Amino acid sequence: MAYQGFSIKRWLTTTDHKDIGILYIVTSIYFIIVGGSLAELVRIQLAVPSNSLLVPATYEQTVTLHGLIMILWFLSPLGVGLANYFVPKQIGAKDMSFPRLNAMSYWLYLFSGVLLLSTLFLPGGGAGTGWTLYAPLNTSLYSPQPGVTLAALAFAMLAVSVTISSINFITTILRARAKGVTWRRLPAFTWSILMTNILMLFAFPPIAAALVLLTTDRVLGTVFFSSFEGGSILWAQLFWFFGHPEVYIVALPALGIMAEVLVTFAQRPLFGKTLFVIELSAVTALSIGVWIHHMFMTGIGFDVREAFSLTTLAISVPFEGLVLNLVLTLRKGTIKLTTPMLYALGGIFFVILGGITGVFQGFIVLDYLFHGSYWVVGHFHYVMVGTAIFGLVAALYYWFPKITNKMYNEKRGKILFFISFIGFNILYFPYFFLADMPRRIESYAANPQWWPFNLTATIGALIFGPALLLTFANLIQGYRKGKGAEANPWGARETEWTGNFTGAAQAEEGVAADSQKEVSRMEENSPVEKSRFTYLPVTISVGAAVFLTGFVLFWPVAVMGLGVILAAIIQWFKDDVRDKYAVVKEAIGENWPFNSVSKEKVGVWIFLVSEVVLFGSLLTAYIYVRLRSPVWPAAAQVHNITIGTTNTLILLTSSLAMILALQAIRSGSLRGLKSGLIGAFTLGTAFLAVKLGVEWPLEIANGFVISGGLAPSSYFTLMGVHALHVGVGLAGMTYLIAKAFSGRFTAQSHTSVELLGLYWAFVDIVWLILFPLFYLV
Amino acid sequence: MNRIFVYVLVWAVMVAGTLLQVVIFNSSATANLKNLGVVAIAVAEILLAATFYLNLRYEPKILALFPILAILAVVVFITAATLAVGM
Ligand code: HEM
Ligand SMILES: [Cu+2]
Repeated sequence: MAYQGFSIKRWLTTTDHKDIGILYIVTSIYFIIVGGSLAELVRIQLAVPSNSLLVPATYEQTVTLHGLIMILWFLSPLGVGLANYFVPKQIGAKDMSFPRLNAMSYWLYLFSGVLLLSTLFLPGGGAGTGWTLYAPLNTSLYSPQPGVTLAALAFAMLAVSVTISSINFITTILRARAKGVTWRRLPAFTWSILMTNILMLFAFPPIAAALVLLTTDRVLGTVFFSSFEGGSILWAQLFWFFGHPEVYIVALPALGIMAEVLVTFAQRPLFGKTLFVIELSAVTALSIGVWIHHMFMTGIGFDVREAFSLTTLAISVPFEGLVLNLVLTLRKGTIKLTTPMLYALGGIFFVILGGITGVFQGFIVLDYLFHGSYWVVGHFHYVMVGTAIFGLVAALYYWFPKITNKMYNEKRGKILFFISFIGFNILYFPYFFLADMPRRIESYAANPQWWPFNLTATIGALIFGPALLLTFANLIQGYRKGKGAEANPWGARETEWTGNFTGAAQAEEGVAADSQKEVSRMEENSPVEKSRFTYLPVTISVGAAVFLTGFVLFWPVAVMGLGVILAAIIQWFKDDVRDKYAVVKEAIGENWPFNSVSKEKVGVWIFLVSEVVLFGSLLTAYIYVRLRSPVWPAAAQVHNITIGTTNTLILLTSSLAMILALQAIRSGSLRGLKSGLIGAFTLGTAFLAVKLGVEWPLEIANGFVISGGLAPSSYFTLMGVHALHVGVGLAGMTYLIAKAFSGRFTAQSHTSVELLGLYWAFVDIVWLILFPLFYLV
Repeated sequence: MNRIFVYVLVWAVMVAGTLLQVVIFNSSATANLKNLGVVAIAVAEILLAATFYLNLRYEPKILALFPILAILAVVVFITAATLAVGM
């Protein structure tokens, strides 16, 4: 570590996974304080049947911001922060697979949050739609204020951050495990993070797609969500396809942590570890297929709802199974009731209650009663606050000595746990008596019978909130004044504490010491990175925030932001050409089944998965609106098929040139590489020129304009997103061409050519879908 | 040399496929039949592109699972959404 002590420069430029983990943790705690204060405002407003603290519009914005911040800017990022710190430690990797991208994820996350908060200060304020941003309330007609557009873009920026970090985590877990960390021996927490990130990879591109469409609706005049042809259902589909997995994204890391904590403090191995992993995987797989249970009241076909009622019941089996595994771990254990253990046990208690209430809602008949009521609010606060927050606080205490080398005040920790636990129940249990009180109302003067429950809840909030705040204070105090802690004060056996990845410890002490030595020797011998510090991730993220703000408010500012981003990206490429950030080579470890594939390539493949999901969502939206529309213009009337066909041939040929370039450098021909790249680049440019310079002007001249209904809406949006991808590919090719002309590729070293080739093939394939769908069918 | 030949061949097949799609589209077959033909060729072309451009033969098989999983998820979603619209 080049920096000792506190240094602003270090924190702005670090790419070290531990540093970034800490940044994530601290930032997410900042966001819970903001989101929690909003919640206290809401509870105070509802303490009496009619209150003038918050006028309706303010109340709605408060509730909306509260929900968005808590779920997306606090709960999951705190999990990501802990994972950043401990996944590499658990699997014996020196760092994440892509450290600079890791820093970038963090900065994008931070500045997306800043953007979200800043919407409050815009004229008209932020979104007042509820965290689900339901259509058509989210359209310009009902929410004209620019804050809603900016909030949507902030959310999209977060989606980019999450996607980058999930690619990073999955690659790291697949490719960077130390010798001995086989799949069988992968720790429970790392398993839960792997599953969480797989879910993120599938869940965030759809919401990004939805937000792109919402933005084009609000800014460019498309009509996806304002149309009467099912616009609001389209939003609900896309949102909940993201939204349901998101609740498991929040829950799984907490369950993984509970497993670690219970194992340590019950001094028993995790009950049925294999089963636990199977259940985790089942929950992950099934959670992609239950989202309609959020739409039981929307009047979609009964058969569909019935099917999703069944999947919802199905997912509760592995989910409750996970909980059962945790509970059974306690059996015959010698239980040490430390603070983290208390929080883990509390979390289990809440997940049982919350899970049961969820099953109730899974029955359509019962959901008629519960939907949109405070019962639902009770359900998800039990799981989200109870399970997730208690689990995450357990982790903060549990790993505190590991992060800080200090010990927190145990007695205060325990007292605060009991206060929190009681406050929590006083706060949320009354909600189950309010199954007839609708959500998101700011007064209930006509229903005074709800008052006692609401008042109780408010009292609970005034206990729980401060207790949580004091909990963070307790941790900070421990960091500043705490006594020094031993290396492994809990006597934990997991790898992040023992540094023993081969599992020899359980058998013989001597072997363990040997493998310890081996680990440190490994570290000494591996080449050191030339630099671990870079300003580029933070610069790009600031540029992105400036760009988005300008895009909504004042376009010259957007141009500035774009300039900053481009300059930083060019610098990034320059650094790469000079190999400035040659990243540590990990010692050869366990990487079945990817033994022969570089981590870069694994990363690109995973990235392409997210791209498939992104385009899949956009295409779904297109097919959806097209099927719902009573009339749809015949392709031949609006599009020139000759132009479309020509462009298809151009792009196909460009792909051929690209693959020939790759083939050339594989056999060592730099000349072949250069001509192939230049060919691919020229053809790609021609494609864009034809599309944007010839075809669009023609269509627009014929009256086919983006704001002219669903058909042009979907055509221009999908084509635009594809064209953007072509542009990115071309930018990448310029980099390759520059590098080729400086003679830096050889038969042995040309990974980036192969990677861009993959991406270019993907862009080609997308076009192979777009062409028939828009020009022919 | 033969790898290059294969690439060019695949490219030629895809070009032919594209042209065939246009021909089918301009033919006098029924709308359903046309759509079926166009979509079938598109699927074939995508598979071709995926197998050859992405060089699947040189990766461990499991890598191929990722995109297939992704495509499956998308198909499930599209089907469900279509069903939801239909009913
Ligand atoms: C694992 C932790 C869980 C979390 C974090 C969670 C979270 C949530 C959230 C946030 C909502 C409300 C969304 C909104 O309308 O704003 C919700 C609703 C719902 N949850 Fe859960 N949930 C969890 C577990 C479960 C389980 C195990 C089931 C059933 C087996 C379930 C079934 C439902 C249903 C059916 C609804 C829709 C209720 C309605 O809006 O009418 N949940 N959940
Ligand atoms: Cu759900």
